[in-house]
Amino acid sequence: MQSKGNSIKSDQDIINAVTGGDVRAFQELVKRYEQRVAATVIGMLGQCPEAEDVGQETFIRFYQTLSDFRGESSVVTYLTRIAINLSLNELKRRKRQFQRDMPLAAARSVAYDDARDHEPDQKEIIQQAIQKLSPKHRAVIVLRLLEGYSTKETAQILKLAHGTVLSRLSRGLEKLKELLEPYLGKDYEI
Amino acid sequence: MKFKYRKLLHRSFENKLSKRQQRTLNRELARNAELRAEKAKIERIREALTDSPELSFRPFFAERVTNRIMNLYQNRQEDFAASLAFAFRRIAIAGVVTAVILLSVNLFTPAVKTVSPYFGSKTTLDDMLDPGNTTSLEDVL
Repeated sequence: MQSKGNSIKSDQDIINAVTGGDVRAFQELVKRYEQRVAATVIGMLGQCPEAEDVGQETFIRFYQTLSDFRGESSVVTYLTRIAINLSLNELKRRKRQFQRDMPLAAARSVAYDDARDHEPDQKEIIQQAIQKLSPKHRAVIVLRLLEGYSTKETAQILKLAHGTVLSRLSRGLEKLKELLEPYLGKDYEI
Repeated sequence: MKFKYRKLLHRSFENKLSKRQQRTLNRELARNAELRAEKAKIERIREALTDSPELSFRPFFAERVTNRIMNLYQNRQEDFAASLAFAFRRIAIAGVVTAVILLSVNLFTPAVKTVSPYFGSKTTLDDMLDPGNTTSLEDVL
């Protein structure tokens, strides 16, 4: 993000201040990009307590590598890359935990469904459908459609070939179409 | 529905079609109702995803991150100081114990009145005072 006036500091100005020892300046950078990181992390993991942890960890990792930041890619791209990698790690951890505690996880899932006292709205329906995609398809859908990155940028963030992004995008959408079919068929406001 | 047309359809949303491919897709869309329905569904899903409400963390997220960073570095400095003090304490205790042992041995052993034998020298205070033991200039030359 470039500075829009004298009062708004550029990302590089903030980074210089932080590397100069002003930790508080980092807060401004977090405020600037927390929405983007939230979209990535919550899109990948769903609305859950782990999402906030991964979001915080994303900024902490960025802070720890600030001295290595050369500005070759923008701050938001760099943050998104960290957020995606940490989210994928979290998904792997969940998968391992689910395999280990399968009966407990199933019971929790039932309890969660019972606790919900309202019909899911559009946001929840979409999130639930995204959560059912495989991580590799989910990452592409989140970056390309939720976050609005171009396919080229998505390929750069995920370090994939452009064609791979396109094919994962179409497969992900196919899967989403199957999952959202009941709502699409019933003229649901989606 | 042929996979080829479905693939073309998906690619068309990303503007990745050549003029020839676009013509093929348009022709197929005009005659294939199933493909048109598929296109409409994909459009709705894409719209729903791009227009979905913004996702955000709980309020004061930035403050929590900054506090975590500050605590992290404060704890790290404290940990370093504590481990340094701990290491020095062990060295200091080991040194004092060694000194006490050597002193005790020295004091309670009647024949030995010095710590020198422990460092390889057999020279006692008496030997040092013995004039025959002193090195003269001639000896050196």
